[in-house]
Amino acid sequence: MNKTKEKIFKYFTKALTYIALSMLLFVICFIVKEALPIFKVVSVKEFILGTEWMPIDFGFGTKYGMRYFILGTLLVSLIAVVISMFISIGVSLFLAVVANDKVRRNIFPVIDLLSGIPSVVYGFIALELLSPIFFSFGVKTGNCVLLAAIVLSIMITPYIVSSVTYTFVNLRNKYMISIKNLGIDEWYGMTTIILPKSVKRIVLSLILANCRAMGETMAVMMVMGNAIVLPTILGKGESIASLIALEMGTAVRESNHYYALYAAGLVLMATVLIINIVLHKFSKEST
Amino acid sequence: MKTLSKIIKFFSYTSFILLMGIIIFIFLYTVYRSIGIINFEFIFDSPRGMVLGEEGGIFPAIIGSIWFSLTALILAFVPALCSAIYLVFYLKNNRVKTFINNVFENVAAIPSIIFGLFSYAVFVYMLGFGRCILSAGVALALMIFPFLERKIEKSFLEVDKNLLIASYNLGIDIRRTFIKIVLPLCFKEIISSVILSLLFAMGATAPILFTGGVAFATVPNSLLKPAMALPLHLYLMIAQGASQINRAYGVAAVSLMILFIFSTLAYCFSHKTYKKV
Amino acid sequence: MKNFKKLISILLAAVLMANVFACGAKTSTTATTNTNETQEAKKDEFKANILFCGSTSLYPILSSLASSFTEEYVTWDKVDGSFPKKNISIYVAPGGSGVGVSAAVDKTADFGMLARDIKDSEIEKLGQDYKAFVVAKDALTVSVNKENPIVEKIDDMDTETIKKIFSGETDTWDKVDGSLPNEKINVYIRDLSGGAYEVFQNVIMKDAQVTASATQSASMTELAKNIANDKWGIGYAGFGAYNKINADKQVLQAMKVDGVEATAANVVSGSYKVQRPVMFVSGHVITPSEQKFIDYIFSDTGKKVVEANGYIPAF
Repeated sequence: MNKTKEKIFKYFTKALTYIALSMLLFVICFIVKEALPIFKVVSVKEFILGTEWMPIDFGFGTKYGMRYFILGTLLVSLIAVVISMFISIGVSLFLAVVANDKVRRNIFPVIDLLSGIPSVVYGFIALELLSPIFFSFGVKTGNCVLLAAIVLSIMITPYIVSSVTYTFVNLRNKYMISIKNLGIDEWYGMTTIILPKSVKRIVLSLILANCRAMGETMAVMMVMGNAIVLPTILGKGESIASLIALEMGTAVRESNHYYALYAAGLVLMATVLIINIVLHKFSKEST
Repeated sequence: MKTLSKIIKFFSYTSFILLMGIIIFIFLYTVYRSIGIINFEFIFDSPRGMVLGEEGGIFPAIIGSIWFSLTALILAFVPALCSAIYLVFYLKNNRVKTFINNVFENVAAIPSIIFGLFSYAVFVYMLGFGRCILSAGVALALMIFPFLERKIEKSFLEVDKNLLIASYNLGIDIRRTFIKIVLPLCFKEIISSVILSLLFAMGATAPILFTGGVAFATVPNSLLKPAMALPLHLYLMIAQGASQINRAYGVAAVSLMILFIFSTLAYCFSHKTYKKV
Repeated sequence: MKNFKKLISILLAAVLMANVFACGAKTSTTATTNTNETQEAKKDEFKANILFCGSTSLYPILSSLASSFTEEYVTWDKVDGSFPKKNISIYVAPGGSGVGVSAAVDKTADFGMLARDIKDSEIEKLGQDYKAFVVAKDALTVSVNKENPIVEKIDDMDTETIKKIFSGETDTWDKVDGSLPNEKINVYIRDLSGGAYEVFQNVIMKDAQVTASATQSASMTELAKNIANDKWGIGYAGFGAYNKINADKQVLQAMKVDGVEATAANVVSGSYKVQRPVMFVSGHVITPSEQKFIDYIFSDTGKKVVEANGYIPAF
């Protein structure tokens, strides 16, 4: 009796695992399938490197060039990661050195609140409070890549803090006794011994956070300005995810515009997947 | 040496205070701006007015959000739990395990709007469900599945291996070991992961934008009908411009309050989650 | 203290589980009632649910009307005695004109909302039962900042001048009028997703392209705000946004286009040419319940709502 139950249990879990797996693979394949027709109209190279995006034909033909969107996505996520890196390392040092286990246990859920705030709320507050500040400093309309990056950096901070703190605490438990015995100041020891040892882990978590930042849609869309130009820090830019959210409504189903937006999604997904795969190789070599 | 450690100390304290300040500011400022907006009518009434949202409340949006996220949770929870059990306790083939793990991790990194696109094409259009809570729920379920699975799997992995070995040696099969030993140990954490993924689904706008979220609907009573959602309602209010801004703060404050209450719940359940760090 | 915590966590768990089960049960029951509903609907051909989908210009108007309609009548039998006693469900999904037409074509929505002229190819796809309902007209004003000295000199621009400014051929204000300073013209436009881009292209630009250095705005409100903030700016602010931003104090000045001022009367008569229809279309025979709501849209209440949202009623 127990044996049959055990078998049923095993095959039930196995079946659901494979159903879930195939569903996820199906999503990926489906996006690829919906994206392919556009490559009959433009070449892959032109699609990725082209600078002009004009999916609706007003008599000058259509153009599908994603370069500025790709650059916009990369730029905004990179700046966000750099800003977040400073805050996160500072906060992690604080949590590793100043806080004890009990304090950490209570602080983490508070920091995690940040990852739970709906991105529309972030976009809204940034639009209300930060955009006028940028405007008063002479940024046209107040919305720019830097503003979007600042918002993003706050959104991804919880992810970086949790993994970096984890590394710091582990290393600290390992080395702190010898550091103290040598009579070195705790903060000095943290910076000169433990920080260099965690660089690899920090980089890994930054890259993962970067992937998250690239896919963020609503908050970025609301404050990045959305212009199809070469993105600069204080200028406007548009990310791939915003492009999809903004134009999906205009695209008639099964038109080239529609396929192009799926292809844009594919480009975004592919970028994230490539980074992830490289990351896995990298993390394997490092351990 | 002294200066360096002083600089680092200062930097570390400042960033910590800065981060905490930002968190507290976002919550307090939003709530402060919504004073006078949020009242009984705002929470329990339908949106009204010549320009929708100018009068009335946001009740359909609150209930709609709960429907969306619960649908997603119901769709994602059983597969996530089973996958976690299978991967941790049954699957022995390491190559298959790595492959599945890779797929799950990569999907976790896929931008949420792509799940929206997928569900729009497959569920709304091809399968003919139309714009409805179910179609949006599928998109949200795909989004929270990897998140939930990872969290449950992690809590299973933290169970003391010796306990499991002892149990197996006594001739107890995996199923009973799981039910009698693993589940009681991980129960709290599973509940807390469930709450967190519920919040994750509740805050998402992009996946429901084309799949089931609408600008106006009454309180939903079926999975096959569209519904309003809090973040989408907020987004549309902002897009409509100035006259709505104060009321938009009210919507934002309500979402933050829901977040706060549920996070507190999750925290009560998860003393273990943060202990390990 | 410990016991207390335990108690609380057990209570919370119980509530949560109860919730999950309750909702699970609810979903299953509602799922069955829904199938019943659809079967019934097929039997007596009564349509209790109406779904509008599409243009971001029209959805605020219809949302507001759907809300007041539902509030006023609640069930269909109160709308008309011959209708069954069923809850009124009218949904309005924002998306965009393209999605609106697609949805009406493949019947994922009952009506598609558009903020542009419908193309012949689209009418063909909608089939022989195609019907269009023009709710409102929206005009694009060619607006400059009130501070701009041009306001004192000119109040009229012809199509050719506007075209040259927006295409970037005329890039400084002194080229528009010799007495103006040699300042760069900053052009403000809507992004591709709004129908405005298309209208402006078809009416004014025709064979010319809008300059790549133009700043895009995500909404008309934002566009109007941008021109108001830039002394040397020019852009096509929508009629509603133009009136809204000028409500307290005039900050924008609209130019006449080819001698015609952008007034409600001129838009309705068609003499002001930079305008577009805001309408909804369908490809099926209108059911009696749908007709009731359409009548409601084209009533006096509808007119007021259209005006409150900044558009010009087309009826």
